Parts: sequence; C-alpha cells; structure tokens
Amino acid sequence: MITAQSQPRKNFGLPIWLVITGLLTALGIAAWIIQLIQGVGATQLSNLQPWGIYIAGFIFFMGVSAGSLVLAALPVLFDLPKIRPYAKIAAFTALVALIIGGLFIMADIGRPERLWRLIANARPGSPMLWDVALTVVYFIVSALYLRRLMISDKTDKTLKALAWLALLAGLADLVTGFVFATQVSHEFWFSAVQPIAFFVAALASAGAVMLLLLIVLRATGQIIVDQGDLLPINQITAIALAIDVLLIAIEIITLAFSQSASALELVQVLATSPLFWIELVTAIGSIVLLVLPATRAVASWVAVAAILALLNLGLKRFLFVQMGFVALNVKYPGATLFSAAEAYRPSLVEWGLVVGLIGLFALLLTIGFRVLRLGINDKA
Amino acid sequence: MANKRFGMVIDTRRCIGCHTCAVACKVENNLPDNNWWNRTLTVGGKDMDTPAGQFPEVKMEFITLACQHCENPACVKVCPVGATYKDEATGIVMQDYDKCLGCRYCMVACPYNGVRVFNWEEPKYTVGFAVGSADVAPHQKNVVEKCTFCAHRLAKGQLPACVEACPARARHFGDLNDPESEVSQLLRRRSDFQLLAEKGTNPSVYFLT
Repeated sequence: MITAQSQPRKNFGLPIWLVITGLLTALGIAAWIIQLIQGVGATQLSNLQPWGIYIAGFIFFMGVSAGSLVLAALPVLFDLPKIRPYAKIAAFTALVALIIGGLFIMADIGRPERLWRLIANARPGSPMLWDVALTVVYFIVSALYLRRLMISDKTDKTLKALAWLALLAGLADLVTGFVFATQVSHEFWFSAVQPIAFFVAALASAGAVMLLLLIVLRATGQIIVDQGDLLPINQITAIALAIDVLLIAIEIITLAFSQSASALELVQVLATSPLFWIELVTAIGSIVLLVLPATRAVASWVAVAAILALLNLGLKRFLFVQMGFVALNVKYPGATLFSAAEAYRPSLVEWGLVVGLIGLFALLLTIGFRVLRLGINDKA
Repeated sequence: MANKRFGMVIDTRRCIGCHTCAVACKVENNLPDNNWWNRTLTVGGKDMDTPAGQFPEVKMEFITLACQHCENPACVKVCPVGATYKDEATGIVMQDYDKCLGCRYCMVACPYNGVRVFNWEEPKYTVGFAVGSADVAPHQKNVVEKCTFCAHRLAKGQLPACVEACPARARHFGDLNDPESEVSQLLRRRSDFQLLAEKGTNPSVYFLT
C-alpha cells in the first residue's frame, strides 16, 4: 500500500493554495474590523446567549493544540518508531493551533485593547485565568519541544523530559473543560464528565488533523510515508472518538433519569436537533473508516474519516456552547431583551471570522512546513 | 464597624406589574436603548401580562428581576480581571466599566439570565440628552453593566430609584445585617423566597409572598 510519490506537477498548487488561504485570512480580518467598528452586536449573540461560535472555535483549537502535544509526546515516550518522524509536525501544529485558539478569544471579547488587564488585574480564582495560564504553558512547552525536535532526531534525556512536559501540558486541556464544568447556572455544562469529554475530543481532533496533514504532505511530496505506518494515529483517533460517543450517551442517560423539567428539556432539544444526529453519524462513520481493515490503510478513506471527525468535533463544540443556553433558569415572560427571542444563528461577520481563522491556520501550517522544512524526513 | 449587607425586599402581593420601577431605573441610570437593568416579569401564562390557567381559575403574579447582589456571587468568581467585584462595606456587587474586557463570562456564570446586560454597540439614546443622575458612570460600548442598587444615590443617603418610584410601595430597601432595619423586620414577619435559592448564591433580594 505504498503510495509515496513525489508529484512535480503540483507546481501551481502551492501558490494557489497560499492565495486561497491568504484571501480567507483577509476575509477574517475584514470581518474583525467590521465587528470592532459596529461592536459585538455584529454577531447574533444576545444577553441571553452571550457566547457562541467564537467560544466553540476557541475550544476546538485549544483541543487541537493540546491533543497535538500529546501526539507529539507519545512516540518519544513510548516505543512508536513509525510515527516518531512526525512528532515535530505535531509539535508545530500544537503551536499554530494555540495561536488560532487565542485569536478566537480576541475575536470574542468586546475590548481586545484591554487584554493587558489579564496580567495587571489578574484574578487567579477565575477558571478563565487558569486557561490563560495554560495557554502560556502550552506555548512555551510546544515551542521548546519543537526546537529540540528540530535540532536532532536523537532521543535523549532532555527530549524525554520535554516530552513528559508536553504530555502533561496536553492533558491539561481538562482545564478548559473547567471553564464550563464549574457553571452552576448551566445544567448541561455543570457535569463532572465535561473535563474528560474535553480531553478525548481534543485528542480526536488532533489525530484527525494529523492524519489529514500527513496525507496532504505526502500528496504534495513533502514526506514519504506508508499509510499503514499511521495506524497508531488511526487507533488513537478512533478510540478517542468512541469514548466521546460513550460520554454523550452517559450524559443523556443521566439527564433523562433526573426527571427535572430543565434536564428533560435539554434531552428533548438535543434529540430533536439535526446537528446532534449529524454529530453522532459523523463520529460513528469516522470510527468505522479508521478501524475497518478495508479502509484504514487507504489514504482517501482515511482522509474522509479525518474530515468526518473534524466535522463531528466542530459540531460538537458548537452544540455544546449552545446547549448551555437553551434551558433558561428564569423563564418568565417580560419586556423582550434585545434580540433575545430568536435562536442563535451565527451572523455573516461571525462566519467570516471563523472561516478566516481556519484559513489562517492552514496558511501558517503551510508556510511553517516549507520554511522550517518539517516535512522532510530522513526515514526514506 | 460591621459590614452592611444591603438588600431589597419586594412584596409580590403588592406588586401590580406596572413596570414603573423598570422605567425609573432606566431614567435614573440613563440607560441606553435596548438596555434594561430591571424588568417586570409575569409569573403566569406564556406571554407578558397573561395569566396561567383557564377562566375563571386564573392566576397571575409579577416579580421584578434585576441583579440579586448575591452574598455568594457566581459572576465575581469568574471575572478574570476583577471588573465584577463585591463591595465588602455594602455587600453590593459592582461593575467597573473601565476594567471590563467584555468577555461576558459573568453573564454566562450568573444564574439569573438577563440581569447582566452587554452594550452590544456604541450606546444610543432615544433622546438627545442625558437623563437621570449626573453621578452615574458613562456607559461604554462592548462592556457588561447591571443594577448597582443605585450606589450613587446610596452614597448621598437616598434610596434606590426603583424603591422610591414604586407606586404600590412594594419595594423595600435596607441593611439585612441590621436586625432592626425595615427589611429585616419584614423578613421576620412575612414568608419569603429567594430566586433560584438552590444555586447557592444567597441573593440579597427577597420576595415576600
């Protein structure tokens, strides 16, 4: 199943790709400028649903970052020589994903020019500050680890120590879960399952990004890899997705048995939401493609599986944020709050920013792989 | 000197659902369009001012909803920069517009949805001049704000605007830590409830039944 061929015909591929991702990034910047001028009112957020797709994007990319750190650490810590050459790709992905996650927060907050107050007026009791601290740790650890991986391919004590740090930093994605799991006001979030659910989703998203990246890097002749060698990443991704589905089931069963009106409302909203069913189907479809002997080592099927997994995890985060707001604590009718009555559908500005940041993610990865020459491995 | 715990006691048997408190608040604090710190909610049917049940067995009450100035405020715990804070001397939960990042974590954390209001755009006003007290902090774009128990009035020895304006005399204000205050006496005499008491926030707003 070796399909490693360098394809010189891709000469125009790279410039076109750079232009596309560059334009998407520009679109994102334009959307952000519009939002800065008009105010956060350019979104469809409201006083009753103050968080939306930006926060979902933040969770998603923090997850990709954390999961990528774990994937970068595993082959160094444990004997996985076949995916060892890709540790630095994972470490670089962690760094880029982190930047994108941070930019989602920049997009979300109303007064980005006051961000310095996070340091000047820091309140360590706030779970958001735990997350900020974590972001800094991720950044330092992934940068150090990447640097060390780039210097030499030798596995020595320093590298092992750094790999342990990377693994721990990756595991700390649980902390992002605490931003939500500590919210007594939101029944769906206030659950001990959430931090673990965050971590497995993080791992699954990083696995899917890795698989997709490696397939693209091979197709563009930057690495030579046997798809069969990537099976450990298949397995990690599939297992994480399976645990994720299991946790959703646990969540729904416990909610349904609580018999409280708001819990039943949550179950009903989920069960009647098409997005929820798409989430389930994409997860299961991805798992099947990743483990079935007939598809698990075929690049195109693995790519489909990775895309399904990313779709699943994006939807999961979007639904997760929304589910926090569907069962209001105080339901009595009164004077309508500004744009409160309608269901949340992201505005064009919000989509612009999301698409722009995804474009920037692809752009930074592309440039990084070329400039840092991370794609060239000496395995072949 | 012992700290005060300012609180409000609202008599649901006197409230007539006239929204005067909400309007008094809006005027006193020069609130921008689409921004309400205090609202009158109907406890009854599906819509405002509709009763529950089938005629002739119908029932309708009102509660007014503003910041509950919780003794154990969920918003204060989550604010990453201390823009939302509890004034220890009065027990009032305050909001510092100059510090607020506009992350809206406090709005998310507050169980009483809708009492924290975000200025989604540059504040706009129906009338071309400022109204109400000159002592209120200027409103800012993209920050969170909410009821302050009219802290600027308390500082001058006045009652909150909503309490003073209530034509049904349903609103009472005072120090819950002082057993002789009117609010403490009312709470001893009458049965009461706090909104969402099960959330553990211990609101300083009580409703008499």
